[in-house]
Order: sequence, then structure tokens, then C-alpha cells
Amino acid sequence: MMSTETAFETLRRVNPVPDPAAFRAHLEERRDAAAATTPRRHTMDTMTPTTEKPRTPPKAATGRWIPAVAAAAVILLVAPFVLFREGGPFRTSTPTPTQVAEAYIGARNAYDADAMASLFPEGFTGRPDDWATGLHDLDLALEARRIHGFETRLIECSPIPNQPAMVTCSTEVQTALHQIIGYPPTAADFWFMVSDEGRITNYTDGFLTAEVEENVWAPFVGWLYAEHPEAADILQTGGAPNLTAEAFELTPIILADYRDWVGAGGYDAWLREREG
Amino acid sequence: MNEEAGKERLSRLFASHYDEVLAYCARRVGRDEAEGAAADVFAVAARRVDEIDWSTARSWLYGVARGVLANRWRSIHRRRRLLERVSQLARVPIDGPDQVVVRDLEARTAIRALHGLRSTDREILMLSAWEDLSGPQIAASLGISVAAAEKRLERAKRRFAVALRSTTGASAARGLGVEETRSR
Repeated sequence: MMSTETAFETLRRVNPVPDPAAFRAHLEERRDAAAATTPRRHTMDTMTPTTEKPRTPPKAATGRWIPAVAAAAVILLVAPFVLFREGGPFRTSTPTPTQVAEAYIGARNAYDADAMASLFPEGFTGRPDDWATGLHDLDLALEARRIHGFETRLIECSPIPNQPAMVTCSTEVQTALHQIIGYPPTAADFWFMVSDEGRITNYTDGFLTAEVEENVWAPFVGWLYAEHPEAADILQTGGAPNLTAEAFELTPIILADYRDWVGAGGYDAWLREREG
Repeated sequence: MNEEAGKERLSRLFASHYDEVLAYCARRVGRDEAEGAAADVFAVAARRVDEIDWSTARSWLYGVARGVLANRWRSIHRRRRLLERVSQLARVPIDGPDQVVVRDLEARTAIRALHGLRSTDREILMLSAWEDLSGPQIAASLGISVAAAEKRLERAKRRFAVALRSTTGASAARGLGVEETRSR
């Protein structure tokens, strides 16, 4: 039986940052290494020799300017092309609804929560993804998608006639469950409503079709409740994945077992039974 | 206090406590966010440098850091996940492979148990175990009496021990379940 003090000692031992000074030095080394790999564009005429690195607040670090300068250079180079492509040099640089929709699919495919969140207005209260309840847990929803092997291949985004704020995108979506049973990617349409400021105000994902439910989810869910009923509640609630560390840890284990079952002929038997 | 004296005081505060504040933030929100949060803490300190009592400066800075982090992370889900991410930080100095495996397992179990506690228990445990604050320092950081801080810490320790036992047992049971499934 573990005593209170033994448990507390365990907590002391797992301190993620046991040595603050070493941790800070580690961060500075990492930043210096990143700065050293950036090519220098100009030769400096003078340098101020220092014997000791000054302890300045991190926001003052010169390395922080490098990404900003690089981003500014990219914007200057790319902006003219974007402006002309969108109908002339006098348009503003607000992205078109189609560009916003394409950026959304790209961010989803890259599981990049920050990029996706930046496409929504501040204070957005809807669901930015079917698995997220809001912007605050978007990173968890995308992590769940990564673990479940979601891959979204964009085919085309196009505006809806007479609806300038609306865009639809056709995609093909594949998941780990598709891959395990050898099922081809499923066609899925997304719809977006985009404001004049280039932010998504409404989103719908048409992935969960009857086809997917019947052919991809049904064999998995049937197997899950038969073989791992104890895991079902950990993994999901009401058909949506639980965004918890426990579910994230357990999912790959369950998927590996499912793969074994399919490999041993379980899915073929399920198909034969269904077809009667 | 004149401007020069204020700057001097802030420099001393920074030199004495920046590393600790940075570590405090990293333990709670991960290293990528820690530097920005620590800078925010010292921005507050710069505005209020005249009010800081030198004898309780570190506790005061942790109190400011708690407020800064609460503003940065409103979602408890996100905070939990980041805390887990922090547990994956590289440790300095680096252990041998066997030690890393054992410590990672231990760390994951302990941090999961920590997650299961109320935020007030979690914070007081971290202030004691990770920030190494004494009872009076914890009291100053949380703005409560020393007696209340010590009582809360004892209660939190007991709850953590119960949570750790339960988490360790659950992990072992699940591991066994997985092995049984695999051998079928």
C-alpha cells in the first residue's frame, strides 16, 4: 500500500522541469541553433564583443525577428500574384471564400488547429469541426482525427451560384478503418459560409453518410462491442470520440486489435453474414 | 520610487526569479508557451514594481503567473492536454534509456492522477512538489493563511495518494487486458 508521503515523493520525482536554470539554457541553445541555421544576408561591419550573454527578457531576443522578416518577405512576394488573380490590382487582400475553404481543408489535413482556428472569427461559438465543441478543444479534435487516420484529399472548392458567401468543397476522406478493411476513400462534401472579412461563420461536413455508417463503422462497432465492450465507453460517447488522454492512448491499441481481427478473416465473415 | 530605482529593482527581480517563473509556466502550459507567459508575468511586474515586497517576491510572481496562465488557457481540456505534453519534456541531464522508460511510465501515471484532482488540490501540490515552496510561501502565493495552506496541502497529498493508487491499479489492469486480448 502506497503511503501519502511516498505518493508525494513520486510527484516530486516526475517534476517536468527539475532544474529551471538548465531548462532556460536548453531553450536558449535551441533558439541559438535555429538562428544559426538561417543564412545571413548581410555582412555586419561591426560587432559588439560580449564576454557574457546578457540576461534579457525573451521577447527582446533578436531570433524572434527572423520568422517575422521571412513572413514579411513572403507576403511582399506573393501578394501581387494573389491580388491580380482575384480580379485586379485594386481588390483588397481579404481572401476569397474559396481560398478560405481551401485553407480549412488544408489545415484539417495537416491536423493544424492553430491554422484552422485562425479561419474563424474571434469568439466563434459554433463547432469548427464535427468532433470539436468549440475553438477551445479544436486541437484535441484534430489530434483525435490524426489518431483515427483521417486523411482528406481536396478535389475542388467552388462558389455556389447566386450565393457569394457560400462555398462547397468536394473531397475524398479516408480513415484508419477504411484502410484496415481495404475500403476505398469516401466522397465527402463540405459547405462553408464565409463573411466579408474572410472568416468562416458556418460549416457543415457531409462525411458521415449512410454508406460510411453501413460499410465502415458498422463492422467496427459490432466488433468493438463484442470484443472490447469495456473500451467502448472510454473511446466514444454517442458516436463521437472522447477527447481524452485515455481515449487517445487506447485507440491505437484497439485499432491494432481490429486490424488483427480483419486479417484473421473476421471482416470477410461479417460481410458474408450480412449478405445472408 | 524614481525611474532608475524601479529599473534596477526590476532587473534584480528578473535576474533572481526569471528561471523559476519560466519553469513554473513550462510545468503548466509546455515549453512552447512558457517564454511568452513568463514575459507577460514580468510585464505585470514592471508595472507594479513599486508594490512588490522583496521577501515574498517569488510567491507574488507565481500568483501573477497563475493569473496570466488562466487568461491564456480558458479551457480546462486544453490545460490538461498541455500538462500531459509537459510530462514529455526532455529532462536535463538526460537519463539512460532504461531510466527514461521507467520515469516516463511513472510520470504518465502520476500526472494522470494529478489530472483527476480538483484544480485547487492540483495547484497546491505543484507549488509544494515542483516549485518547492514552503507553507508560508504557498500561503503568500495563494493569498490564504499559513494554517489554511498547510491544511489544504495535507488534504491534497492524501487525495493524490488515493488517486495515484487508483490510477496505477487501473493502468496495470488495462495492460493485463491488452495482453490477454493479444494472446487470443
